[in-house]
Amino acid sequence: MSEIRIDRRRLLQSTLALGGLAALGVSMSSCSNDGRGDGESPSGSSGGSVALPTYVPYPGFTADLSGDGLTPAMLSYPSNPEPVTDGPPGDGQDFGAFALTNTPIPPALDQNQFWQSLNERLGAGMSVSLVPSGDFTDRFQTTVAGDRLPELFTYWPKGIPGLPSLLRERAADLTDLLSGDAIKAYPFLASIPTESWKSAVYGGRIYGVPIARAVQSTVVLYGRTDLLAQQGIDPSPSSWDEMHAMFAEVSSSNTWALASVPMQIIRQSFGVPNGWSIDDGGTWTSAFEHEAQLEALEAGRKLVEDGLVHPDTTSSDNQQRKTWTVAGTTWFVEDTFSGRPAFANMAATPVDVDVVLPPLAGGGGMAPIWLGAPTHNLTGISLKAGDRVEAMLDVLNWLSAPFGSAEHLFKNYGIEGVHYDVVDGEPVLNDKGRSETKLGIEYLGQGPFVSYLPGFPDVAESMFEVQREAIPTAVANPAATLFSETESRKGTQLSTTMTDLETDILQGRKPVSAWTDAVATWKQDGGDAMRQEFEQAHAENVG
Amino acid sequence: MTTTAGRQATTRSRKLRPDGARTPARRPGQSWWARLRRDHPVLLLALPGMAVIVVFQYLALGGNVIAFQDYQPYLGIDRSLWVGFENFSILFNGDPRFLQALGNTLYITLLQTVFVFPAPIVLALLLNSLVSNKIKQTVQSVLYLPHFLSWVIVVAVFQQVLGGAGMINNFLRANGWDTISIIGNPDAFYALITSQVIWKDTGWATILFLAVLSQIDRSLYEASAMDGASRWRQIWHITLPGMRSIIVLLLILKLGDSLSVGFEQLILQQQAVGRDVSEVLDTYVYNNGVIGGAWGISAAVGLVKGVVGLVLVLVANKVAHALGEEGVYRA
Repeated sequence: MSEIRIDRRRLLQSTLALGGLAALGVSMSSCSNDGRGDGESPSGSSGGSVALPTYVPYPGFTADLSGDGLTPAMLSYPSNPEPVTDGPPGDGQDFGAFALTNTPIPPALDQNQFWQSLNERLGAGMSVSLVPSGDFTDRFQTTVAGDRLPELFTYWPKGIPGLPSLLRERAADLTDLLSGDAIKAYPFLASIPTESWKSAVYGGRIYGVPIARAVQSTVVLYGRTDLLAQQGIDPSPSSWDEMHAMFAEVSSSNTWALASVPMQIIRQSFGVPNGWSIDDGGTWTSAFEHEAQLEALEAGRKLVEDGLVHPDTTSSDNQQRKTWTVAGTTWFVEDTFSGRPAFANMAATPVDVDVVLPPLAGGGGMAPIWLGAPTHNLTGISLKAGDRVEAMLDVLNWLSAPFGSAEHLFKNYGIEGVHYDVVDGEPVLNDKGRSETKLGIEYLGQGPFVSYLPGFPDVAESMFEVQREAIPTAVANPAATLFSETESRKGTQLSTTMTDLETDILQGRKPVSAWTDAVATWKQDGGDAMRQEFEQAHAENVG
Repeated sequence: MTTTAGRQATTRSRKLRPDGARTPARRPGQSWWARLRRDHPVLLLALPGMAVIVVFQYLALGGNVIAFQDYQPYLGIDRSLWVGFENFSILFNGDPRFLQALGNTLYITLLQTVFVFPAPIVLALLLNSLVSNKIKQTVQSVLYLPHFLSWVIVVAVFQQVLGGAGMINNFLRANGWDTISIIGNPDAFYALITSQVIWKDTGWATILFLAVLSQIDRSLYEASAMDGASRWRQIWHITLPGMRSIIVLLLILKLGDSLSVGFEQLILQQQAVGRDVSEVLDTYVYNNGVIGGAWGISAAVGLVKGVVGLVLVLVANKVAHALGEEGVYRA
């Protein structure tokens, strides 16, 4: 009935991302997790009792910068990358993929040299149906309803009601092929960190291959350091009041400090837990009901009241907010670590943006930031693939080829001279490359995330330094890899109600005190049930 | 007096069909077979269109069965659990979000009937009073244009002009005046969406009315002018009665989808003003069903909406007949 309407809405989002028209519609995540509402709603999966795939890091790769729990960074691309596979993967038969994208749709196969040579290397024709991330849930649901999922399909570890039953009905059980040492048959999949595999387990079975993001999906506040330097402002406030004062200082009649109310940052500053917290007695407390929540909302509301936030923020999406920030209309914007490279490509002359870490609200040092989910998305194999499951895993393995290999270079940058040019030894995509390579394959299969920006070694380095500073004290969401039935069924609906109220409060339509009542309703409607289920799942995992 | 003039106008206009032909009357003696032989080329021409309607309208109706199921897309219609009327309980148990969506829908319907529906009639009358044909055609083309813009563009244009950082507010700010909050302000929301609909579709909707206006017999105006009728009296006694049957027809059809108050337009602007004011039945079905996974309940709401629309059309048609109008059809 509303099929066409949905499509039109999707068109809207791509149009906006393309043209930078006034921002509208539903939030669209760029290379980040924003659209999924991480933090508020932990992912629906469980460690269960299954033996997770053995972690075997790829021996041939050493990062320029690395540290425990940090995203490894490369300052330059290794010279003369060698192939790490022999010949095409899989069974040489065509397959389809339902994939995710954050970029404009690439040219069709007959006009896409990259796609043609990808098919050549895969030894099979790959057809892709690309879905913009902002519309992913609707498209996924309708595709499932129409029973049209192709051999490979992307899905998010949560946000889809009843996901475990859905996977049981439609996805191949990969447990026997991947669990424990069996994964060694797919060496590049074996290099995916264990933490990410936890999100692939539903009802004690493995139903997908994760796209690992390590700490890359952690949300931070970016500031225009170049503009701040011009004004002689040192962006290192020591309390929330100073932070507020800094925002006030940079706002003027047609410039606003913030592209949106940075609620994640404010909550970190005020000590609200990342999704859930567990006290010594093993009792779980939701971030919603945490006592600092009201102060955080009050601080956020005041930013809007004082006119420090772009007036059109409620009708903007992530892409629009970044555009404002690159244009200097706003100076600060929330985004993930992995969202940083996009800034480099947005303006003809790159602008300086850097992470501004939040202080503890009352002063006394840096606030612990919230770790993002370890898994960006998963790739499942449809039951329809029948006896081709192993061949499909082989394809995913090929797509996950490690950084610095010939396969990795091709998959990300295409063919030299056609899709990229070598500038000072670094592969830099040209216009043809930028449009043709966007086939969504980076969300189908990908090795461990490596932070690398061709031509911007200083950015990679500064991002690494920020992580080194902030990650050791960062707090994880204990529910990130636990499963709760209630959360799976009603989580999205419940958290949407809270986010709606949050917007109402921030925009001054409802008093901060309305939050308390809403939390009571939230608990009654499923919040308490989620708590019990998480407590139980956690106890089982620990014990 | 009024009715007579109206009758006259319609009868006259029907007599004056350009080809001079009269509608072929069904002669009682003619057999079904004879009529088929006579009409079969026309029926064949209608076939593809009917096939489309059958496939995309009638067959699709079968999908409504999920309103009686705990439908799960991965189980399909055949394997989802049958729950009878349970999904419909939301209509009666006072679910606050549903009631809010219903209330907003009815309010917007009222606004649209009062402000949007008459707008093209007024505009058609204004256009009709233009003497120069050239100016008339230019004005008409300009007025049609917005209809071909998608809602995305329309909403973006309004945002660029009225938004917090839009043209008007930037101007106000540059001159040190207070800004006005329109986009994202729940109090201004209904005025905003009503203006958007008027801006976008009024020009297009005048087409039908202008066609009717051109059918009204000129001699009536001449005769009334001889009798000394003013322009206002001509509009009241000749023009409006001449348009009456088409106005009634459109009003009945409008009632049929009166509970559909614009999905795209609202979903695009929902985030800015919050759901309290912007949630209507269509967005409720989408947010709750496609996004929230409550497919059965959403289908139930959609089904009830359709049934209400059907009943409204049938009743309005009967009322029209009782008032001596043609209505949409006669059984």
